[in-house]
Amino acid sequence: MALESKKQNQYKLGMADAGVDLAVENLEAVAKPPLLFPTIFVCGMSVMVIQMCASRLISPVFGTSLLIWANLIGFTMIFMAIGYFLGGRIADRFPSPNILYRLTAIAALTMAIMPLISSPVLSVTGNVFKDVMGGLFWGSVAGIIVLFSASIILLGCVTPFAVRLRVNQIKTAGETAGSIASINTLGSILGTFVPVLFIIPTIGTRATLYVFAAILLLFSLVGLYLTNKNQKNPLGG
Amino acid sequence: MAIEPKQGQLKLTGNAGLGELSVAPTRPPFLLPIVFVGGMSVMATEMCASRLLSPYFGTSLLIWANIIGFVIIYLAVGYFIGGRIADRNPRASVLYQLTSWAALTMGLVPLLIKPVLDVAEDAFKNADGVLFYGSLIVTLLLFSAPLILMGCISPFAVRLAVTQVGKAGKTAGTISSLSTVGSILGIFIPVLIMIPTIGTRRTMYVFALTLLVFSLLGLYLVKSRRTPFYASFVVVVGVLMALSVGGIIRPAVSGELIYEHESPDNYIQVVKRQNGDGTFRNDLVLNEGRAIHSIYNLDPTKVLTGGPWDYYMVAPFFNKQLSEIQVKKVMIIGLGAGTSAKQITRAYGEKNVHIDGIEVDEEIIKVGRQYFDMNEPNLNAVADDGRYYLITSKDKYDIIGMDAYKQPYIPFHLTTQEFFRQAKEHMTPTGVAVVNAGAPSASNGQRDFRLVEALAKTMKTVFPNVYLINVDGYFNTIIVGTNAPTDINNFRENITQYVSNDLIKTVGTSALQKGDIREWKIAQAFFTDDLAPVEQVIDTIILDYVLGGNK
Repeated sequence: MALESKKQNQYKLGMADAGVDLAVENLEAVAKPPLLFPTIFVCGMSVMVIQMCASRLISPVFGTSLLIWANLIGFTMIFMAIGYFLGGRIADRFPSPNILYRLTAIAALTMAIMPLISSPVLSVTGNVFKDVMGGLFWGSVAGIIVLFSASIILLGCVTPFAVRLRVNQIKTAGETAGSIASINTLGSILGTFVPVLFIIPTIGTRATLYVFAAILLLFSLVGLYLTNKNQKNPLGG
Repeated sequence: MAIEPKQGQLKLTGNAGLGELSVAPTRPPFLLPIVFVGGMSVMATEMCASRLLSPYFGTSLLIWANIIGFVIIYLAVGYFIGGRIADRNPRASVLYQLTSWAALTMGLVPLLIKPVLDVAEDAFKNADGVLFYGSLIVTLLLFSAPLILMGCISPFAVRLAVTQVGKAGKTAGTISSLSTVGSILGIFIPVLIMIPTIGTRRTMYVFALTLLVFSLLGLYLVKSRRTPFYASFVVVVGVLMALSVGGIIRPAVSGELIYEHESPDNYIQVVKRQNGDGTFRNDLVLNEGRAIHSIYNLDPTKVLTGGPWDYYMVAPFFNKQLSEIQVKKVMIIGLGAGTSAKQITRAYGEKNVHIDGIEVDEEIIKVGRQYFDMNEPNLNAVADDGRYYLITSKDKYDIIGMDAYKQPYIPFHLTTQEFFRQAKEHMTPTGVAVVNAGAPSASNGQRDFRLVEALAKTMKTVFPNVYLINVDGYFNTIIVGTNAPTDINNFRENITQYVSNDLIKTVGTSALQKGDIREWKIAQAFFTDDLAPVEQVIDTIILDYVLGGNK
């Protein structure tokens, strides 16, 4: 991640000030990063889209048995946990929406790469482990890590990052964390049902991934644009 | 819910050892363990919900979608109100009271759900769609209290743990992370270990008690006066758990239930029923029991069932002048409890034919060995995924049979053009691929062949010839694809002139007389690995039937 400009540091200072309720105008500007809630929603949606598409991508090689589902759900959650962990720490160091939207933009790109590399990657991991004891397990785990870790870890960064950007005083931290988790979760509902029931059966798995990667990228880019526009108008007038 | 009134905010921070009046608290004791156990409880509840429901409602996509949807909505509500409760009462004792109530309401679910499921059972018997779906909704509403309360935990913990704004990210990240790691355990421990060992109901009690014990420890550590009150919850859940020991999960729909078991994959029943001719048989019934997956005639002289299983043995005879001794190697994907494996062994002789039977649920293999006498020496029963076994195999087969149903669906990866190509690579020159597909009766009295035709079109893109045989007396059609170019007339010739085995002759004759054998000539890659709307095709068939039936 690129180091941030001075503007960014001003942002950071602004946040610190907000913490002790000194710079009220800064607080106002910093507390509402543009497009944050829509992006949180889209990220919650994207995680589930990836998981649903992942099951369609890996089952031609590894099947749909409970073991494969367990691996897929288990590793999605491990990647999310890693993302939460890293995301919070990155946010404390660089509490700027700029960084958040860069993370989600990269997540969108890694999502768009999946359909391109899934067949070769899965046939390699399927073949490498096929004569090994528990080849189905190791082969599917290797495939899942290579294909899906990057994007899900990046998307996992989003909720704690958003909490950090929105919490401007401790006494409303509960409400902020609750709202963010709630919106993220509502996105997940959509990301579970819309692809499974409508989009995958209509346009196929690969095209579904491209569509949702494009949506995530769009939100990231608009978010970046709005953030930079706000920064050009100096905070606090 | 009893939110403890005025349970000293000051007392709470007293744990810091300074007795200060500061409003900015240090992290309260025992917060992270409760976050972890809370995450675990959520997923354990979801997994148990699906298992409590599957004997009555099945495990179709629609049911899963309902379960996941309701769980997520409850959590979203919990997150939302949890954060607000926390801001108003930022005390750990309140959080631990919420989790105590979550544990108690979770422990009440197995008791409360029973009468609702009985209604669902009646609705299913009487084909009452409204009542059936209504009881599904009521069932899911029972999970609202525990899941909403569990959803409160994360934002509440964030509120209590954030001691400075500059570290809010790290705090929120750590809490989400910990809750998620708990969720992983909450999926795997119940599904893989506890439900198959102690059953769903007791699994729920164990997780309720775990959450309760952690809540009580938390209450004790923050020196809540109401700890004894919440300790009584342990007694309630403990008594319920003690009373739940024994008893069957669900009676058989008809006939006599002789075995039931919850495997990680399925709710399994073995039901003894009477045939039309007065002899008895064992049926393998899975989940909600709309279909019979395997049949074992207790009269050893009665090999045939009249069902789709019988037809796998006749499929090779579309080849010209095929001799029975040429059929030496058979793969069955979706072995079940081994009905067709037993018949093929009888037809071709255990010395002559080797069978690789692939079944994804190893508990079903065990049930097959015990209750369906699936002990043929020439049968190699493997617990594995069918397609993975096929593509990693180096052998070639004379028959590759597909009968892998997860009612009402066929796993999509066993329907695609790519799959049939891989099957073709593993077939002998006279090899055949045989698929059993449902063609239920439509509302207008005609049979609905949409699934059959979608599969036949896909197979025709891979195999030179594809044939359809209706199973007389069943709503099933057998689809046969041949590796070599073949002719429909060969089948009649072989069955009437060359075949000597009685079983093959009987089934072949039945196919010729009542099976409406026909060749399928339209080729279209209807199902591919990328686009395989199997569930959609099947849902449409079911929906049309249900809507038509109500007219």
